Amino acid sequence: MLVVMGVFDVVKRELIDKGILIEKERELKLMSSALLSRGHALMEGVPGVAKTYTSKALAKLLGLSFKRVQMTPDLLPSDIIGYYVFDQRSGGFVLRKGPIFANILLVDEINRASPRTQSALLEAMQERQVTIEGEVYRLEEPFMVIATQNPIEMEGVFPLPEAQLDRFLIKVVTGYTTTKGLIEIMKRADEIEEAIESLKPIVTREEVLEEFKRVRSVKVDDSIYSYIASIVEETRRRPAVRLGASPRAAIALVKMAKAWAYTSGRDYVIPDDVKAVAIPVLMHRIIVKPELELQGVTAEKVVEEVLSRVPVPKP
Amino acid sequence: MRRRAILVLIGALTITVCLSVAVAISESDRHTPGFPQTTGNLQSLFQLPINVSDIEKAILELSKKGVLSQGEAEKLKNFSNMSFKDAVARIENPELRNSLLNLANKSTLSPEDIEAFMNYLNSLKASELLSPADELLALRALEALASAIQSPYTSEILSKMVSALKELEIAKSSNLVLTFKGPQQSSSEKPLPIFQSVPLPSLQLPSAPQLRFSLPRIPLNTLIAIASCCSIALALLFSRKLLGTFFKRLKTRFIGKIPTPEIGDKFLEAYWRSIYIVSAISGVKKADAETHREFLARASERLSSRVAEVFRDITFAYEEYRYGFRAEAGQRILEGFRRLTNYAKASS
Repeated sequence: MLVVMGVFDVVKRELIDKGILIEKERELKLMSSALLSRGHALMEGVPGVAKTYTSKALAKLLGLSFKRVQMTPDLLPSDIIGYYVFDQRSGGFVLRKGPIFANILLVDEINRASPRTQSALLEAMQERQVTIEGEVYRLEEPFMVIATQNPIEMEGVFPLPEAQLDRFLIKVVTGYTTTKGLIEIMKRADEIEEAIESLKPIVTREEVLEEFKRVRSVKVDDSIYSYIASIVEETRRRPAVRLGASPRAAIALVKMAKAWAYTSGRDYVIPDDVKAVAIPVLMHRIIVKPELELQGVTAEKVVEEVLSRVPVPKP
Repeated sequence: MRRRAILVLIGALTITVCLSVAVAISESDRHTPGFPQTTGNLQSLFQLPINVSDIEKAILELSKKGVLSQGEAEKLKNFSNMSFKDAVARIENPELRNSLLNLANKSTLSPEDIEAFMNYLNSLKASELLSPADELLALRALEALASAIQSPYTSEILSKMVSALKELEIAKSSNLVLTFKGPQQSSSEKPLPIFQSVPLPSLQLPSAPQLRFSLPRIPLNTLIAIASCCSIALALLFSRKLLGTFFKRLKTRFIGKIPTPEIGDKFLEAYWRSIYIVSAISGVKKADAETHREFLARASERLSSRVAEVFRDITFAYEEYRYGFRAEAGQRILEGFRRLTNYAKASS
């Protein structure tokens, strides 16, 4: 068992145990795991379920540079990436970096931006670099995009293309709290707001980078690889599925299982880790047949069914 | 879930028994009430084997009963052997006589001619210008004419004679009795004796249909088979708990002799043997898609806290040994297995 105080332990202690974020432990663990896997997270939920608060609190606590972009239909790619402006004093063009030059970029309501602007994020998310006026700029590690979207609104939104969805390591669906949690939030609303604003960095950037290495060294038995392969292949065989999980999804599942095992205090992956992250990793990568979607079949249900069918490694 | 299954089975059993009883009762009588069982009687109506001799016998009977007067009986004497000319000669109505003679002058006797003559007879009857004897004589003359030219309408004319006699009987009789008889007619509703020799049409009059619960025919054997199956299923469901306890005790008694899975690693074998023991004690079987921790959580609900604690140690040690590649965890599996075996033996 590991005794190292990891990112998630710190986040949990500061945000969950102190009651700053109520009933958001699972979401925070998933997002911490995504960060440690060097992945990006998409948070989906109806308005008012603390999507932005969760992302902001996580970024503040980790002592990483944090920027936020509110997506609108008229937002241009240069508004995110940056652009060159003429500097009269130097008599030449100087680069004005966009908000993408941050460790954690919170893209609020990503589906409100035009497809052109959404695609501007593609290169940054996949290659961890941006190209401005033909010049390539590397983004500083760690780099994580936390995007939020509201699944209810249908007007004035541009659903994310499959290629972009695939670039998100996980999709975290966050919902309403329990009645007890809601009462707690109502009682402490002002206090929570102040607490989030006054959060101080506890984990340094170097410590986060060190954790990357530890997560990478988490052991994965061959039988776990076979288990993941069986799950991914089974998603393609389900009759309700139009497009199953890709090899990139399998890689993402391994990465997330390792990070989940690490945040759970282990340096080896067990089948439970795979099961715990399978839905957030696979649900946005699976396309259900439209006729069955109308009947209520969802990608989440498909993954659940797959997990209940694929045998875990034996012996 | 189990309670629902029992309720469904009890319901099915009750319905089946009710159906069996209903089918057994209504097995003999399944036709719609109010309608005849067969159509044989309807056919006999159109195939009456009446001849002139029968009519003559009926006339004699009516004469004896006083329905026909002495004079009328005299005029109708020797009715069966009467020729066309004799019959026409005995008719009192001259107009009717002429009509018949005109009809005789025709070479053929068409249905229209017969219908026209019948209508003519009816009009005379309605205006009370036709005596019963004249009517019968006219019909006899017409029948003789039809027979002479081998017309197919003879039977219709004979039927008309029967109708005329019946009308006569009804008109003269103060106590009217239906002479139409059915297969289920009571003995009190006997036909008049004068028509005993004449095979009268018999038709069961349809009664008002009664509404009755009607079900499709289900063989009694099938219903008995369904009832038996339901009873067996119920018995199995109720006895499952008892049998489960019995088999659990039986299994734990043979814990020392459980089959060893051939894995080639004594630590892993110890873990899988632990699963067998825990399954026997808790009655929870590990599913293939179930992880070790999921099984631990499910089985622990049915285990005593001490056994659950031991199995928890074994499971965690197994994970460390199997996936964490820590050889030292193997000894913990073996140790836990020994403790688990002792607990299991003590509990059995």
